[in-house]
Amino acid sequence: MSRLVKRLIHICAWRDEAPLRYQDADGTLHTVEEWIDRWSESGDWWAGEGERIIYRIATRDGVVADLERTQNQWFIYRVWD
Amino acid sequence: MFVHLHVHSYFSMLDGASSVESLVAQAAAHGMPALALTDHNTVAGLAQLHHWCAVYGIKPISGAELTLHDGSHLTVLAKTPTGYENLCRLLTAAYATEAWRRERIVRVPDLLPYTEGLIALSGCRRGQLTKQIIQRRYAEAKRIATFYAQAFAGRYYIELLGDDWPHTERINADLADLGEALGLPLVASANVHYHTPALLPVHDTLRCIATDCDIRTPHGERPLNAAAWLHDEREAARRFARYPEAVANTFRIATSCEVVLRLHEALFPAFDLPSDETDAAAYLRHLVYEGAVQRYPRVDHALRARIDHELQIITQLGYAEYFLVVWDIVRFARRRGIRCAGRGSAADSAAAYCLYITDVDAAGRGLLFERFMSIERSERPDIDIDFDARRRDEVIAYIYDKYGAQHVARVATYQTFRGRSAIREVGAALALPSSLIDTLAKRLPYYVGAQDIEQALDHVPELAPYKSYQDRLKWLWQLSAQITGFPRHFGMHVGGVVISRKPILSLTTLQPSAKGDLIIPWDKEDVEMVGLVKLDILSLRTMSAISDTITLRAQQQQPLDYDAIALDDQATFEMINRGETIGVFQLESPAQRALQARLGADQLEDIVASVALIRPGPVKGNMVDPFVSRRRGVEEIQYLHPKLEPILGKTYGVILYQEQVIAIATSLAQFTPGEADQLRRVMSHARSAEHMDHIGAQFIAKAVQAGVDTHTASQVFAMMKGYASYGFCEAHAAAFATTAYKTAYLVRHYPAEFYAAILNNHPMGYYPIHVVCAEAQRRGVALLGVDCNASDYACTVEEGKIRLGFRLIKGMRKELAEQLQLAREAGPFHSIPALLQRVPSIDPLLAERFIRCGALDSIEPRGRRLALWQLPVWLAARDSLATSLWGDTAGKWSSQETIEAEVSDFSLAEKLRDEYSLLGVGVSGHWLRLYRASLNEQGYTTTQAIDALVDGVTVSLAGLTIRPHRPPTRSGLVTVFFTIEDETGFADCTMFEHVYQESGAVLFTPRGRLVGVTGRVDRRGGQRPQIIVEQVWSLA
Repeated sequence: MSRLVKRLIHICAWRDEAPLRYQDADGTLHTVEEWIDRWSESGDWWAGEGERIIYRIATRDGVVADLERTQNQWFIYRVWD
Repeated sequence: MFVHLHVHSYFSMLDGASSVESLVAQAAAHGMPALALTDHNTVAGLAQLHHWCAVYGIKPISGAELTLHDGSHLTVLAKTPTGYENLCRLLTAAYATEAWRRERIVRVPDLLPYTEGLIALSGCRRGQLTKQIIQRRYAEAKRIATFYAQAFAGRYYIELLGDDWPHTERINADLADLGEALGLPLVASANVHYHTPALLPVHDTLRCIATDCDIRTPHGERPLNAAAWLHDEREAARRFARYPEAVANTFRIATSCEVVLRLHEALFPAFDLPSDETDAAAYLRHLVYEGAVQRYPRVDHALRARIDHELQIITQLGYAEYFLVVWDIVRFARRRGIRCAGRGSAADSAAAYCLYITDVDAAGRGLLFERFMSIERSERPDIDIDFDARRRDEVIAYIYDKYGAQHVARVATYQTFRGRSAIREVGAALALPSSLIDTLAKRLPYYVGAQDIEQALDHVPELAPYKSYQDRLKWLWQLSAQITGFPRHFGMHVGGVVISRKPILSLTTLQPSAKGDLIIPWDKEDVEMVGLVKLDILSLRTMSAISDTITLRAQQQQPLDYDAIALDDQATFEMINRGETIGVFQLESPAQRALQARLGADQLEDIVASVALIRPGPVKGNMVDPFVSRRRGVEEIQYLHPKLEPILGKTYGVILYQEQVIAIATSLAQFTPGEADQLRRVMSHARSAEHMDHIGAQFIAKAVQAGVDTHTASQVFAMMKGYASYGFCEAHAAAFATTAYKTAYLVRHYPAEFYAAILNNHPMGYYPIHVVCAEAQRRGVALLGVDCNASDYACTVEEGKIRLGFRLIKGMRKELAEQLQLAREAGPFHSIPALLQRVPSIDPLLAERFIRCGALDSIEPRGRRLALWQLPVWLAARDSLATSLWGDTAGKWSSQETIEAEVSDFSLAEKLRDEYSLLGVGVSGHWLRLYRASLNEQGYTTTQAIDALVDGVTVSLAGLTIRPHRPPTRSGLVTVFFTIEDETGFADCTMFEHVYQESGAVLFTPRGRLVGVTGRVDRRGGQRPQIIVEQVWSLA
């Protein structure tokens, strides 16, 4: 089961180009323990949307989520329960 | 080093989004040493791959991506020529199966006999192996990998994914583990579909079209991202960072593969010489001189010199056997009475004339052989021959019989996205409203390509209402322009045939057409790249019409020797000069008729010029008016240099023909004829002003060297420059002009037979059936309607009148007409019920059509309306097996069918509606006759009456609109040409831009079928009055 969220987050630390630690909208810091998967999506090119890079991650505190980078902004896109 | 080994071009139709050249150029720009091409189930792109790889200096690797029985993919590459031939054989075998016809798939068992010399890559996400890995069915994955490893004996590689989709890392890891466990090598692959990431929208749009969905609809076959581009080595290293061996293996594979296709190889077959001949060139010489004696009253020194010159070039270039093959085909046709005539630059050859391949006396006309063949150009000759359309297949069958099915094939043609088709399909993919797309597509002028669409919005008034959508439609225009030229449908060229010395399957695949002809996947350009020589065995309905005219004359015991028609019949020229050329080959369009009325042709040379003049290029180049003025002696002819007079004299100082450009370069600047032809070709393809200036400098320098002053040389080149890009091949014009003149002769002297022949071969020519019939009537040839007791299937001639045939009735079948004629042999039909009984295969629909079009008028005097009322009763009675209330035998029909009723027949309007609809022509009269009284009251004139009016008089006409069209013009402004037909004849109309913008758009809508026009009479110095339109309105 998953929920679409699409909430802006702030990446605090990186490993190569992948997010290592991020701060959620409520101020909570999450540290990535595992990068489960990574892929890219082109977006709605006809509406001017750019490429999205998605990382499916698992954090130390048990969050499994898809983090999405779009035009240099990061979102928590989907949370897996 | 990295090489792309899994690559799709636009020959993977509706999937690949780049041309072959773009892909090769990109690979070369990345510094890659090689590139593979692996289109879906085809080797269509391989000729171009080899060509462009040679140009860009990289190695071509030939392959294909096969679709297997379960829909999965397997990538195969040809390692050796044997491997390539196996690839061609396996695809050919697959094309012939039911599985291919239904679903476009290869069955794996069908693949196994052909693995030698092939390398297999396990495939993309749709690969059999990869699909099992995705589903974590490792045992099955192992079985599949083992199977293919054995089948391909050490030439099987596990293909890693670089597509940046979800789970790629996990899948690659599992594939690598499997490879390690089984000892199978890995190979890195990007599954390329385009050469730059910016083409993702094109790829996505093509996939939407292929899957019949739109951009709002998620679909598994649409791309998720733009990863499938032809990336560089650095990107490969990033994507496959954990698998450097897989990257390195791409280079090892590329190195191990041979170049399997050789371009420009000599592949023409040897000709089977008679037993007493040993040398093809000598035999050709013998045949040419044998023909010369027949064709010419005297074979003098000049003719011998000409023939010897041509034979020397033909022999030196190695084409003696090619000419013999063509001569043999023409000989076959002539012996069978199949009318034919060569066209194109082959008519520049006196040898071809002596061999009866063409009908143009090249030597007598002074045509330049080097326009057809030259040592310098060293290109394969290309001979096109028109045959009677109905018998062309006999000629092709002869070629297959003589050379063997292994060595003969038909050439492909690719319908590409262009203009309207691009708009419709891209619009649907972009989820635009269908009504909008439909309107845009219908209102796009035919000559507007997708790349011109944005401009068309500003200049085409019918598109004006949609300018407000411009922003929303940005993608529609852009994508339509980008896919213009992409292959959309694969088909068979109308007449292209190749005959190969080598078995075709050693070169390429053979795919059956719907009719069973076997087609190679290359079009005429690619065929020549490979070295195959193409013949064009074309069908031309005009040839059929000529044959039919001869037959119709023979049926009346008045034989006609078409080949003996004199080329100087003044009555024929007088008719041409009045612009009365409807039905005449090449001369019947309004533009041609207008020209003829001004030109005053009195020799075949004038007809040759006419064929060359009325084309977009000369019209845009403003060549027509100067030519006419000089021809009529109104404008003085001046030559820039005395040497130009013998070259340009026959065209009154105007450069009209490509051969004249060659002759000028030869005469003034001492180019050899071959060099001059090269010059002409370079000029016609010059891409920039700088390039043209460079060519000009070359010409001027040589001319000055030859003694011409610089200023004159510059002026001459300026004149050549203007015409080189659209000058016409004189030989082609001459070939067509000969047929044009002779068909004009037939119109003049045998109008009933010739117009009947045109009707029998319709659709053909420029005009619909009712125009052809109206013209025949205007010439005094009466029209007899279809009659069940008098008509044949074909139109015939009865005492100088045209009897319309059953074939004109909508839905009529030839076998039914034959049954009707057979039944008629027992005696004429006396009633409709009797006819229905004697010809039981006439179904209700056709019976109704017979009545409505008047075919049964002669046996039902009470009228068509009553006959229609009675028809169900008659049909029921016919079909009833038991004795009924109505009686059951034909003898009782007369008492049963009598219905005493006061029933008026259909009105003239109703009859005409049915006749136009079912026959294409009104036999009972003309539409305009219905309105003539009212039109006269309103001040309308008839088309016939304008003949008596002087230029400048303003008239109003009403009539049916025929063939409105908007050809490109010199000024770029729109000029519309159309014809008005009323019950007295025709009037040609010209409408200029301002009138078109104000009111002319209606002509291109359904309301424009019946119009009124007001305009000025203008003969433009000729005999035939035209109307310069000032206003047009719908009368519908």
